[in-house]
Amino acid sequence: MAQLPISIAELYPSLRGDPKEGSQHWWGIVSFAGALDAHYWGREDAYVTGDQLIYYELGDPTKKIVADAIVVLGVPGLGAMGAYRVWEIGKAPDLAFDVVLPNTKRKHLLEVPRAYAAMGVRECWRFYPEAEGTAALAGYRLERGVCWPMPVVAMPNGAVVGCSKVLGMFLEAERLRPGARPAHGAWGLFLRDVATDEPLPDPLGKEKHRAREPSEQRGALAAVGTVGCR
Amino acid sequence: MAEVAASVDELYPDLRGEPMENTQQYWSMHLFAGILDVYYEHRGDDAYVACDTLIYYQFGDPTKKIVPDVYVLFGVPGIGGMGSYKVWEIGKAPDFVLEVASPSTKHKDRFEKPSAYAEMGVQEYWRFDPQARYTVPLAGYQLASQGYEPIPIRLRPNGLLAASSEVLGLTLGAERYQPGFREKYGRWALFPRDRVTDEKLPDHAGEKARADAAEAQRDAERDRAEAAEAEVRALKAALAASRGPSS
Repeated sequence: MAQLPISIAELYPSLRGDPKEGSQHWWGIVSFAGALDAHYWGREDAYVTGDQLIYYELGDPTKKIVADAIVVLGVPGLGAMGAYRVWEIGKAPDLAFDVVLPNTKRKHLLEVPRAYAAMGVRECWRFYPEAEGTAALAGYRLERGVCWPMPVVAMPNGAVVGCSKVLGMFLEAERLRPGARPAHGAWGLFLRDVATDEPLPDPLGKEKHRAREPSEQRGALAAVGTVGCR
Repeated sequence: MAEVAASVDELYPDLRGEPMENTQQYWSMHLFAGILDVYYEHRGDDAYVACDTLIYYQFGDPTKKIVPDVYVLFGVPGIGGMGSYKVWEIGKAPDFVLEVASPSTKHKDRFEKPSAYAEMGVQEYWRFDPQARYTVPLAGYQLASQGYEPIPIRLRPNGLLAASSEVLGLTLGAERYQPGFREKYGRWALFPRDRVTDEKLPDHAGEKARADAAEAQRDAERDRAEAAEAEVRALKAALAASRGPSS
């Protein structure tokens, strides 16, 4: 006999494989991909897109994965595309970014990083918009098929910061202040150029919901850059 | 015997249900929904904008479900991050739905989805095709007693396709991307516009940054051209001087 569903959550799950698990998922992608897309305007060899299906082994269509956002550097002329076939582009994306919500956590522990490592993604980052505690951001550097965690540091104001060598940018996850749209999630993700020390504008204008930076923050940030980016 | 797949496209199709089918679909949703979200937040409206999330529209029947590309809900304050949208929990259906067309959804977007949206009471249903290969770039429908009725779309002399969305309180304008814009966005762009000023609503970071970059590029090209002209003038002058007064 078939088992009866026991709860509304089981009967009407938020996760169905195809749509997003929640509104925070979409807005997390927009913040990351939108900020970088604007930043790389005019650079023909930098390509950013979101919610992208990737096939990474010719001859095996089951070797596929969906990245929430990808960054490809050094391949000029990439335009509109459907699925990203690694052998057609000639290389894997340099960076993959995923927004992780409670239901997809397990997948992101093993399956996703394994696929990225197999195809040769150099760095992958995960952002947890509904994180509790400080685990709102995690980054991995992938070398010879192995994931090495990137340093992620808690700042004096509670922000969690990592440094992406591939982008040359700080990724700053920060608990948003009251007044921010709950649909965007409890945490916001912001980018800051390491070279210029300038923050990238957030496509959703979430800067106004950030906490102030205490003066000691700058020193702590520089330390993250030293460890992660240089 | 199983059929042999005929092409790489069949073996590795763009559509797998879960991700966006192509970059044009992703960026159309990204830009449109982002602009609306920022606009309504700035105005302080109780608007909830969401993309690519699941709606269940009939209690007791979990097969009655649909995933709009973009939807907007007004007048229900305090909605936070939400997984699936259950119409009976929220108390009403979204007020506005936009579907962004892609090769595999053209049939579904025109025939299947509108009947579901009408059934659940979505006031306005819009369709945008960034490639405009399969349909016209923009179409809008308003719910009436007999189902959806088309909203008139006007072609302006400058090529803009414009129509009014009563629910959003905005004009929706589809325009061709200028050459030089990113191919990944598609051929057509959909911008919400202010009804009074007819200005495009700002796309908080992207559009401004792109406009700045385009202007900087034009400035740089002009500077280069001017520098080249100045150099030619200087060379001509030097040449004339070297020939001396006798020549």
